[in-house]
Amino acid sequence: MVAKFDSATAMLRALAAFLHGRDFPMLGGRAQAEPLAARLLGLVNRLPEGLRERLYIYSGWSEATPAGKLARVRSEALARWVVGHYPRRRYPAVMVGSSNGAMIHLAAALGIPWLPQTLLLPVRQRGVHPDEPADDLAAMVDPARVLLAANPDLALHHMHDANQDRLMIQRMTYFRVKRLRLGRAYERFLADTLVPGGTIFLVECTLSWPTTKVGDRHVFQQGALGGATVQEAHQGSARVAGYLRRYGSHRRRWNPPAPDADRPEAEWGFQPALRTDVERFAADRGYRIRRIIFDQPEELSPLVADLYRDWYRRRGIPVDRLLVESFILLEPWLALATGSVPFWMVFNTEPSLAAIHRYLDTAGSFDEIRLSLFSHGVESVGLPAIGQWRTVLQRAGKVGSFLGVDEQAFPRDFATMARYHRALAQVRNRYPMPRLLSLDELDEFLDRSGERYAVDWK
Amino acid sequence: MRTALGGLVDRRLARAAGSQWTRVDGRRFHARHVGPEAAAAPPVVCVHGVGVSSRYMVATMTKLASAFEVYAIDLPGFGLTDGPPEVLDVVGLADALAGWIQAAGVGRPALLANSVGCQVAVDCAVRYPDRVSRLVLVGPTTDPIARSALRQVLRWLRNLPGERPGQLPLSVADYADAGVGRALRTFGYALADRIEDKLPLVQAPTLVVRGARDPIVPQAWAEEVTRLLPRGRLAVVAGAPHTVNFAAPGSLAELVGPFLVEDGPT
Repeated sequence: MVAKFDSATAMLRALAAFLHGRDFPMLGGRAQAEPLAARLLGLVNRLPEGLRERLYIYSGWSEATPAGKLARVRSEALARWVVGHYPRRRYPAVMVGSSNGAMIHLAAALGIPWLPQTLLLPVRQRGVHPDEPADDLAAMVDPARVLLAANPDLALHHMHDANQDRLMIQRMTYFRVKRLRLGRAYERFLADTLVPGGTIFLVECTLSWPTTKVGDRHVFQQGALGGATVQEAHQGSARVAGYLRRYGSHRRRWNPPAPDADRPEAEWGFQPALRTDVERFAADRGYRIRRIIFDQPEELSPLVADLYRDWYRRRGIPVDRLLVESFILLEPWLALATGSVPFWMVFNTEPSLAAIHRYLDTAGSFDEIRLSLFSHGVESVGLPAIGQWRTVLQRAGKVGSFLGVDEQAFPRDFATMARYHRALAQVRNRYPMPRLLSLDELDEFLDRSGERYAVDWK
Repeated sequence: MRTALGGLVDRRLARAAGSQWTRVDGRRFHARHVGPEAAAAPPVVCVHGVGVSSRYMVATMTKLASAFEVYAIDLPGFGLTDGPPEVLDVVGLADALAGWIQAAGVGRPALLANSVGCQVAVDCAVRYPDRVSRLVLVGPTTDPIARSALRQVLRWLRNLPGERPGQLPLSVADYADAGVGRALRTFGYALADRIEDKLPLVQAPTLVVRGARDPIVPQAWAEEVTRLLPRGRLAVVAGAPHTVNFAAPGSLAELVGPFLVEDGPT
């Protein structure tokens, strides 16, 4: 029911693998299959573009749920599926809330799990043109009603991004469900695993987006965070018109349902109703709550990267390796094993490119920079060309290299999913796993950092 | 001794680069030479890999010749340079290279080496730092995690399909000149040579170049070589095999040219 290719799933699996003492090949696939998959997908990369796009569409479709089966979805079953990933042991703290790659590295450093608020339920559909968001909404109103009626704990953010998800939405619809209450499975997991008086970190990304209310707990979101701005998603632009022309669309701008309010962004934004429930639960059980609040997903990245730098310095490890991760191509275990400072980019678009350059401007030089680059199959608005990504690598003192990226195939490089981990796993000069970072050490770092980061800790 | 095929190949190569003979410790040393003598940067000396000779360096020499004075030497026992009766190990070859640099009066050149030639160049740079200004290591061997003849031969076989067919007559002439026995024993010495212990001692600025399709020098080893060098930097040539100097001389020259005139103490 839950998409494997989604941010929340990949982050959950990457962190769970770390807590089990493992690395994260192929977004959670079997390590033994990696060489063969890399070879086969390498061959796929050589296929004509149109054929590659078809394969991408069908790989997504194969993970999607038929609309008729949505009535069977139960939020408690989803929550049980989430907590089933983690080792059952005592943790000093647990994170709950927004998906975020930098947060995964923070949780890994502290050795603690994270319970996602948002999950993606891809729903099969056919016959809706990607550039007709209103048609997608109309086609999915009834299945949405059924889903929500059976799940009072969930809010539904129906997301439609014809810019970056152009291939995927040809045969599926993005239903992102946000948990409004902890529910029994999350509560039981917290009660079983948190030490007495332990801490619940609420990860609150306050990113919002203009959305349209469809019904109770049901909103529609046109566009998504990435290369095109909110305005471009709604009003269009010369870039959008050029993009739609390139893809042979009958539209020159999208004509979405009119938004009526800003609400939490579908993929990254935190829905505050959950906070109220966590506060109730924590008060009942005597747990502490710490809120980690930030406006944009990438605002946590410089803080976590600098936390790792500080940690490495204290361990006597050279702070000269930077691992730049893109979207779901995450490797918390190998980041530590290779002594790499992790900097997470929310996607592969111009704002992310600017974010990593900004970080390098302030952080100083790295001898080695390795960069993974997610491929979503679309020459979308705001997508930097591969040469622009090379400018990041050129800032390395000694070694600047892509991690398993087929430069000719980007952004249709589907082999990278089977190659990024291998490329990082082969890096030599490894370090032993450290003793985990304590909450006191985190606090000391935050005290020393003062107001340097656009992240609020409450 | 030059074979008939070697003679044919050399007649063609002579149009691009002339031959020069230098007497070093009583032995005639052959080098190819091209380029302006009044170049702004120190000359470049190309150092070949095991079994082969200066012949496969000519393509790169001609690409660099407009801006740099370039030599490509034949190490003792390879190409047209007389060999001693015994087979020289990496240290012996590096001594011979250092001797030639001094005898030929080429000042303090940059060394551009391929494959096992990188091991010779690195040894020379470590023990004769006053004779080497910079290093360009193209496909440096020997990756320590594959330090066995079998694994190296398997990698070499995997590399072959990626090389340009035009290298074949040159290599046949080279192996005929050197003799398979000398080539094999030199290969054995190269396997035993621990370049990884020497790299941290190299003072010269060094550019490491890897062909993106080189199975003899995997990316991880090229990165490790660069990491171990105090002043190293890695560049990868897209689509190129092990012998970047023959398969992609234009791309190599584009990387090497700016590196040779970079500011900074050498």
